[in-house]
Amino acid sequence: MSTILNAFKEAFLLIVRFNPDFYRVLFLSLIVSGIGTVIGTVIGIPLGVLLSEYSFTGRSVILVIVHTFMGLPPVVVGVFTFLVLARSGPLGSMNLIYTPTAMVIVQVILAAPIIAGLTHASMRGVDPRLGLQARSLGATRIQSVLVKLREARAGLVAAVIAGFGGVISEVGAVMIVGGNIKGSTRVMTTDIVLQTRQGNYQLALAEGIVLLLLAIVINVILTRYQEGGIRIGLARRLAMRGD
Amino acid sequence: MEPIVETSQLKKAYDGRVVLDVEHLVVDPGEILVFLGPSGAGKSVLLRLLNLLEPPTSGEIMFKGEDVSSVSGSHGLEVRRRMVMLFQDPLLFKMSVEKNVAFGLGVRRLPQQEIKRRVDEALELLGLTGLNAKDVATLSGGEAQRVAFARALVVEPEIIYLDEPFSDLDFLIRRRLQSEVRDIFKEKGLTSVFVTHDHEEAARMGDRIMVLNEGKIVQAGTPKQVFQKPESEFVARFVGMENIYGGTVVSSEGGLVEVTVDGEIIEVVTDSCAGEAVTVGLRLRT
Repeated sequence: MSTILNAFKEAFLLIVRFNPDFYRVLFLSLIVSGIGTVIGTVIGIPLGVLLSEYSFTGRSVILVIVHTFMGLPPVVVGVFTFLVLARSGPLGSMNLIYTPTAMVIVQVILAAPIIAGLTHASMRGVDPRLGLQARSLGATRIQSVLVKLREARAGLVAAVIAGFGGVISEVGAVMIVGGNIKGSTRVMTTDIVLQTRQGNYQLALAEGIVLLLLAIVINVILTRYQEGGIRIGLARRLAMRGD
Repeated sequence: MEPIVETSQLKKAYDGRVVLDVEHLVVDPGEILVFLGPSGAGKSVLLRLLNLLEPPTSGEIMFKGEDVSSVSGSHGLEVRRRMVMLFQDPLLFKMSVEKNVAFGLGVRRLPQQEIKRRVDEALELLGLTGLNAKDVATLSGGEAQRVAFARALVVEPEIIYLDEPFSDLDFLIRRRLQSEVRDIFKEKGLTSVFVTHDHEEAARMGDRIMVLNEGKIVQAGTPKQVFQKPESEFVARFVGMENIYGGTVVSSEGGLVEVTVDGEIIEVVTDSCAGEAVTVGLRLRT
């Protein structure tokens, strides 16, 4: 019990002491997961919209693949990406293995299907007549999709939250392609594993608490957007020209 | 006068199943044409075709003399922007009343001042003045449908299609809104095509009624013609005639026909020959 209580104290001290090594790990976690989520969102939302709003050959196959990838074991992604990026792999000449870029790549592979799948589900949840109504009022096909995106915003933010949650808590894949190199590719989750292996349970738990706090802060911001603060640019501009 | 809309041999099929098969249809300027029919009769499909939201499987749709059956791209958008459709539910977007009403003008990229002026006018016309900033989630059913009407009328369409827009409203609100909407349409000379399964609503709203069943027009005429002289048992029952009997014409002279129904003689003003088997519908007049 005392280990757990001391871990909270340690977590507090980690934050206020401004230890450069700790903050380097923390910021790398944020940057790698942040970039992974942003790229995953840029790929996932359009893909989810495409799958929900347009009919084309192979749509069902892509949807099954997306749904399967939503539950893909991260270590499998890690091993696969490792084999592709390793010196002897097809992209070995790019020297990406054991770099933050490689970590971002695996995180994109993990986040994009989650975001695409949940975007598809959210869009399918919007009354299809809303799109028809928008078109009947003079909207183009793209404008009517933007209207539906706006209506589905709570689901879209949930998709991004789920994508971010998936990658910030990920350890296996980033460990494999990043190598957990101190000062270079060490992130919160891989450092927690390292500290646990070395028997520093209190520090490991303290880092876990900090990671949790970080996730809470980001989710508070995203949830605030989800509850009404978010504005999807064009859809809003179109609708607000009467302001 | 040139019709606003004219169709010929209009068909729509889904997976090979024909859901609409209308031989010929004309919508004249300024009229309120009502399609009356049960659920699944093809009424909503017809409106979606006329509003160019779906292409017909075959047939021709003329809009003010131009064949628009397969029009697409920017010209298709241009044509579609001359018409508008209202659905059974208000289908308001999650934004304020004012922004909802401004939507159609926004996508047309009209100047902001004009949008403001036209939105205010539309809100006033529908009795919504002062509700500009109100969130649509807080509106009553009647108010929400008024916003939907304002949003449709503000784009100044040349024709408006209405898909049972009053059916979810309470009786009194429905009656009031029907009357207000009819007055607005007549005052503006707005052409409209209205679909409903409610024969009373059809009688109240329509200048002409077309009865639709299983995708086909089974009778067309003024409300008086359709209600007083239904041409089939289906139409008779659908326009509220409950007492329908089989009978035989026993005599016919000068347009006055005597029919026996269960041994009773009924006199009817119609054209039939003696010995002909007929169906007689009796309506109580109050």
